[in-house]
Amino acid sequence: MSEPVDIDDLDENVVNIKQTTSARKDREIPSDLYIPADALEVITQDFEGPLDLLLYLIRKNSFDVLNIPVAEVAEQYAKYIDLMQKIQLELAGEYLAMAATLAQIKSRLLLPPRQRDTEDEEEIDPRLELALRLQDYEKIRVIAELLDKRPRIGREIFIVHAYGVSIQTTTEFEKVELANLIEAFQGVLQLAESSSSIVMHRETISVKEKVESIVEMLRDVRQLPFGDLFDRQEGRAGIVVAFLAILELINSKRVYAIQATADSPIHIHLNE
Amino acid sequence: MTVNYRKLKNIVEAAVLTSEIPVSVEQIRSLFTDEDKPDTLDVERVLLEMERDCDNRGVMLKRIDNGYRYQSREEFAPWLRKLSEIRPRRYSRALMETLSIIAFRQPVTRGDIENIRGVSVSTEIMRTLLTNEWIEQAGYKQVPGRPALFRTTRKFLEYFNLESLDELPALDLLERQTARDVESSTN
Repeated sequence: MSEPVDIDDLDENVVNIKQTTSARKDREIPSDLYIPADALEVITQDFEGPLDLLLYLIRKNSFDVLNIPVAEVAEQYAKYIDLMQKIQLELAGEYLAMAATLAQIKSRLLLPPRQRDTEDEEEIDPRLELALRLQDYEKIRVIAELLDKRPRIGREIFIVHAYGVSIQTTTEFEKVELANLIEAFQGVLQLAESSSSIVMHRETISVKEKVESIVEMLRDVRQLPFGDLFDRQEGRAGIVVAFLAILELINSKRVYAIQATADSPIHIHLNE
Repeated sequence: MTVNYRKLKNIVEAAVLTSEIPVSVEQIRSLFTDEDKPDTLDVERVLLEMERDCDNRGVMLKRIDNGYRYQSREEFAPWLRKLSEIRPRRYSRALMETLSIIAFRQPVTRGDIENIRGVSVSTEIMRTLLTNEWIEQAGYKQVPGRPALFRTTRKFLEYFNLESLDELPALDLLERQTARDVESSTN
């Protein structure tokens, strides 16, 4: 470890910044280890993983991260895990892995120091790696909180935006020629014939009636695809009548036909 | 220079106001033909003046990366928030932690993030960060498995009102950390 003075300063900062969060947590989690069952879900959701839980335990007991009483922390950690498991069946595997790590560190601390090859080689504290990870994570936790508080677009700051160039968004429609209409009509006719309807009786449909029924169809929707104006059940005669009715309506300007491009479907619009 | 100073200032102002993204000095200069292209220094002087013009106004000129934009002053947020129908989205602690790690340690792999947080990286979080365009993929790490590397974007700076990554909170907290990482990885 280098510059222990700096680390002390750092921890002080960390604690200061964290004051608000730890106060909130203390309310949520009773200090004694007996926790009512319904509070447990809060606990498991509130911890962002084993490091988070471990840090909580260390801070709650005012332990030094660089000098963790592993036996005690491991015991408390195991109790939390037990409680969490009782309630939440799907406890993330990482929590269990950490319990194992703690147990391993605890046992290594109990072993007598290993024989050193050289005199000056220092015995590495088995807790060091975990301590460094915890410090690392704690810093990120603080930074995440600070980042969360930064002014954001739509929350603290709003971007000035003048729309200098207005973009023309209206679509230019192609004019529908009679030939296009007839072509579309032939398509409808073919469809009607291929559906091989059996005409049982002759029904007289007048163009006049058809005109009104088409206007009726368009009344609420204002516009329909050309093909939808035909009732194939009416057979060839009925379809021809409908086509004549549409032509009549276009002629009298009660409806108009449009299409986006020369190849796209024709739509019939009701004139206001 | 055929464009006089007054006109140059008007053009720069209009460009900053109408641009969808913060405009850089270079972008501004590219708006002119070779004959009347203003000097970099002139554009910078104009921008400085525009910034000063905003004193005592509700808006300010803010530099993001190498670009400039006009934005409202923070102090007016309580009023301006009522203008917007959309309430600002809240982001989870897990997401902010993941984003912080990427911002400070970039470029990082998912594995790096998992090592620091001690839990697996949620796909949902990575997707949110990617769709918000706060992070982007930055190639692959040359290690077995070739995991993808991630870094933050200019959109990230824009969203969190940062001129550069140096403006990130408490960067010094991690500087020594990085030095130590290098040390330990060479062991």
